[in-house]
Amino acid sequence: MTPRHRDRSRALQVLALGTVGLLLSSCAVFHPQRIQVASRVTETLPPSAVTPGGTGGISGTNSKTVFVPGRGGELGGKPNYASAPGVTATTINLGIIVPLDGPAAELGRPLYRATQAYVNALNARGGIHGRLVQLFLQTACINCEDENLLAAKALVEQKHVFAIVNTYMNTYAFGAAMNYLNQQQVPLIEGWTGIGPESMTWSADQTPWNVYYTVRNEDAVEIYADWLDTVMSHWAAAGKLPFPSHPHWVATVGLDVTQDRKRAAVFKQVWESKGPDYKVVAQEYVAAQEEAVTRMDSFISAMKNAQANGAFSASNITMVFGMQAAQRNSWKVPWVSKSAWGKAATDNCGAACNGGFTDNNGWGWSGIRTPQMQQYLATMERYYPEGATYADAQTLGGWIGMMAFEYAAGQLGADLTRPALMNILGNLHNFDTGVGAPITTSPSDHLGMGQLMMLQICNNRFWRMTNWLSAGGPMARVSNNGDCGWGY
Amino acid sequence: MLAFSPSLLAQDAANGVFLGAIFALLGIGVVLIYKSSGVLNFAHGSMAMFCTYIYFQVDRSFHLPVGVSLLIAVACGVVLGAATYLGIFRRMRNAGLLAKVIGALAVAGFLQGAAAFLWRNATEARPPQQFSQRVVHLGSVGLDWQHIGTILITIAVGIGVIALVKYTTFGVALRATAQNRMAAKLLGVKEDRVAAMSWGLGGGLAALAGVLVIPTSILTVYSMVGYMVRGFVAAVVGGFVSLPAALIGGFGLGIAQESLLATPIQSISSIFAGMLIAALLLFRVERFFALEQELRALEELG
Amino acid sequence: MARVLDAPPPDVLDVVVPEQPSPGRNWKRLAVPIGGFLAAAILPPLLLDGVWNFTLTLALIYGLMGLSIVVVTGYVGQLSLMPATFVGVGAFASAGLVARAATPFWWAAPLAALVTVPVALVIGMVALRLKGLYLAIMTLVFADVAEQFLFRQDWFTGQGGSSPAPRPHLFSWVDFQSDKSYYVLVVVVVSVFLLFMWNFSRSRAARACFAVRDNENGAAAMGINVAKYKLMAFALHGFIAGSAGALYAHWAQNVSAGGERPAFGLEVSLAIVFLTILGGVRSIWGPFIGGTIWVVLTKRLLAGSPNGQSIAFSIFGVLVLATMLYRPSGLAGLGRDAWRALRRKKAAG
Repeated sequence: MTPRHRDRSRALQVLALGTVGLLLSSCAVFHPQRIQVASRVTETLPPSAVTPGGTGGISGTNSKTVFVPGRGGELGGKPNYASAPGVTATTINLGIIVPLDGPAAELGRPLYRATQAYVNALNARGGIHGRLVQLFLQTACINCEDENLLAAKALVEQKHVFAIVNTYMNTYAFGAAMNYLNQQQVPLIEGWTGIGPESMTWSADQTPWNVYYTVRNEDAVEIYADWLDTVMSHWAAAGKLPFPSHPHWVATVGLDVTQDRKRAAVFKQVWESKGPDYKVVAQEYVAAQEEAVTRMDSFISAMKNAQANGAFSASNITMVFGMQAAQRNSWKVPWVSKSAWGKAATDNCGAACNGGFTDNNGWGWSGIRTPQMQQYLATMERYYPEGATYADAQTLGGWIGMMAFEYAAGQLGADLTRPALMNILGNLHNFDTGVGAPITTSPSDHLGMGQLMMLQICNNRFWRMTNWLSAGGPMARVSNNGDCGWGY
Repeated sequence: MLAFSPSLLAQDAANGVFLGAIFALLGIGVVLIYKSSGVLNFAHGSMAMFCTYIYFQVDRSFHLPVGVSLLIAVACGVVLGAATYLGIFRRMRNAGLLAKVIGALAVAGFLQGAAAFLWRNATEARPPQQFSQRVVHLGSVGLDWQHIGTILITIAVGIGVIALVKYTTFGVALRATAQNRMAAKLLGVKEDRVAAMSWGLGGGLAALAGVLVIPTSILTVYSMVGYMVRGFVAAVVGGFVSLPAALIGGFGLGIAQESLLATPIQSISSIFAGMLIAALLLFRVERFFALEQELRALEELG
Repeated sequence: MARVLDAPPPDVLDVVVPEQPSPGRNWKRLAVPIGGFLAAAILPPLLLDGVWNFTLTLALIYGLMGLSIVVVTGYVGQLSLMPATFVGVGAFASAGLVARAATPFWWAAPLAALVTVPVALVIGMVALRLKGLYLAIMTLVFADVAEQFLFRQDWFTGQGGSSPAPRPHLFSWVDFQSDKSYYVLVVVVVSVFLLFMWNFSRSRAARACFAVRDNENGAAAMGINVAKYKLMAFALHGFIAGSAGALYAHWAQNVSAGGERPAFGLEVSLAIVFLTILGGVRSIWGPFIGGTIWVVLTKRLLAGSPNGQSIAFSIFGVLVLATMLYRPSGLAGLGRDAWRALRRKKAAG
């Protein structure tokens, strides 16, 4: 090497070593998130208009438990003690594992923000029964089994968390961590992810230590079918169906994954049980998310050629790109989709998605005028002012998870233990968060919600179309102000 | 569930022409880069992705006309390509295959990580399309203006690049280097200049492909991976040396891949590209396109 | 032609020939590796907690994955971009044998590694026909096909794409349920592989491999059976990667391959190749250095920070580039050079 080369190469080596050193020392800066366990903050949340009937206990008449964060009050009596791993007289350790990197950050970040904001507000009002919450964050790539498992172990064995909250567990890659947590009997409380791929569906014997509050699949699909039926009847009455000779023919589309296939299969069962003319004439499955973009036209052509008058989409991606392809292919029909409530629909779809229907998974709506919803909006606004309107599924879902935790921990007072916590969380009866559908869990059902609201996309926004709908109940529409009517 | 029907096939084929245009653009860029430096640019997709993020950012921050943003993105691709060559692959001219492949992969990894960090708040980014989404119907087939515009641009650019390589001094120098490096150097060809220009041109083509196709879907750091692989297939069709073959191969791959969807064996569509590249490589397709000298040079390069 | 990768092959030419192997001398030469093995096996379980042992176990497993690259790419010059696929085959095979066929781990893991060999030989046979870059592309295609087909078959992966992989036990004496005990097990297995590789690197077969790597035509002209060594390279590549997969499966006690991004796909393969290059693709220690840095840095130290991992990946890209450009023998080479310089200084004065 010439002297100059040698110098340059040496310089580069120094640079490389320096970078590595910098990176290693940066870990001193980036320690897992921890809330300042400081003195009590005296400011209070904005006052709420109404004090609901119960204050955390079960009220008499319709056996409903209404929960407003912070209104549990002191249980009095027994002083706090270190009742469980992660619980001391003054603190409760909670852990959260979310992806904050890469494309999955859009899932992880709202969950994390909801959790962190809730914890901040909780500590500001003195914590739960005088114990302040410390939240420990671990990031993990959403599809990396080893990272999720390491994160779970680190939280349980090094940070000694009492429970794990709002972790996106809805992936195959979380299976190892899930098994570990259930084996260690660490509660996993989640207000968002809902039913996962087949291997991850909640089961009483395999994952008894998880609760995740969302609307049950069977109930949801029935409501979708009933709603689509209602909408199509309005289209038929207005003469807007493209194939009026068979007004009850529909098609389904979804991603080629187990949960979408199951959902579409159940939808077909429910739909065709409505009557002899009710048929699902096409069921398309799109191989991957990227291909939803490039190949949608072929699938939509197939659905159109099968003369379907309505479409059910098993996931949000296939609705967003499906409706755009439908517009390109001049196939105008009513669409109902599961879980399209998110930015993908409003930001990426444009006029093609006008009139499309989806649901809120049971997680409330920012326009609901309840004190809990005011609290939610005010708190999120306070700690993450740069965010949007917070009317999105992930943030609300995470909030509900924390509400359930605060409620259950508040009920237990000084004797805060893991089994006792799960006993409450797994046996809720009509638990009303004021932000989502009422939750009723049992040993055979840790999802708990049976209601949802239908929403509509109109002019790049979501509008609430209904109040809480139940399976088998009436499909009543409330005024939506969206000017998209029934979608035609 | 899909019944075979001619109109379905025609629509799929039309979609395939659009996708094929993207594959062709990427393939031409890959061939240029390979011919000039013996490097198979595994970072091609990442360069396209990175420049599309720049396109998105420029549009969001400065609200320039879409055409200007596109030109800026392409310029970004040119600069990125040339800089990658000058900074990295110039030193690897005499290195073995491992260095070149790993080097390109490392550049790809770096660009991916950098983009994930720089635009960490731009989740679900949607850069604007250049042409309107109104659909034009030709018979039973519908294409929107973005598709049509992409196809026309690709054909124009492709012919332009082929002409460039065939008729200009740069092109002659490029072909000379690819056929016989030693002789070309002796004849005064500055191979670094030729390579830097080829890389710049390749990078610009990648950026162009990215900004044309990504706005039709979602922009993430993984957006271009699938397209890049198919760009490689297009390049392989030309044996890594023939530009016209890469152009036609790209279109052909797109049409074939999409048309398969209209047939009963539609599930093969997603691995069709892989199968094709395997077949092409195993049957030594480059024999049909490369001259004797180029073949020998190819062997030496990699 | 001078090439960037012109470091001499490891250890073969590097033997500092002792004057006469005297009994005392031999004893001393063994002290370092044995001492190192004992230190690696005893110190972490003694000094560190379960989670760190768990992390170091993963680092060793990644190192073993990288060792498979050292054999096929570092020794024989065949570029494989699909190690993660073989890791996945080994992982599912072992998990399936233990969980579904009730085979004890001690049979299942070696069997799983053996099962990976025929899969690797398929691409090995392609390597006979295609060289260099085309082979690299074919490995990518194979990895993709495996991901699209093999890892989606329930008979292979287990019901629903996921299979449990319980920890082994040694008769009724030791149960490897605890992370510390499993760490020791992995240290032992890795040491066995290292011993094998160390021996192999000094053998005549290895010299033939290096000849194939450095000049294939020349090697053929010398009468070396190039095809045999290429196939052997891929067989070893598959076997070592499959073993790493089996160890991984039982480390996590679960293997799954569903979901949107493949569990044993290109990203993991690239990570393995990168960490091997960083550590030194021709050194048997290289992948373990690279693996430790990769796992400890990205999966532990940076796991508490947002964006830490994407920054780390970019920096890795830069470091790998720097390695290819300036120090192709990697960190192991740096270490060896430093060690030699130290010895020279000691000898000099």
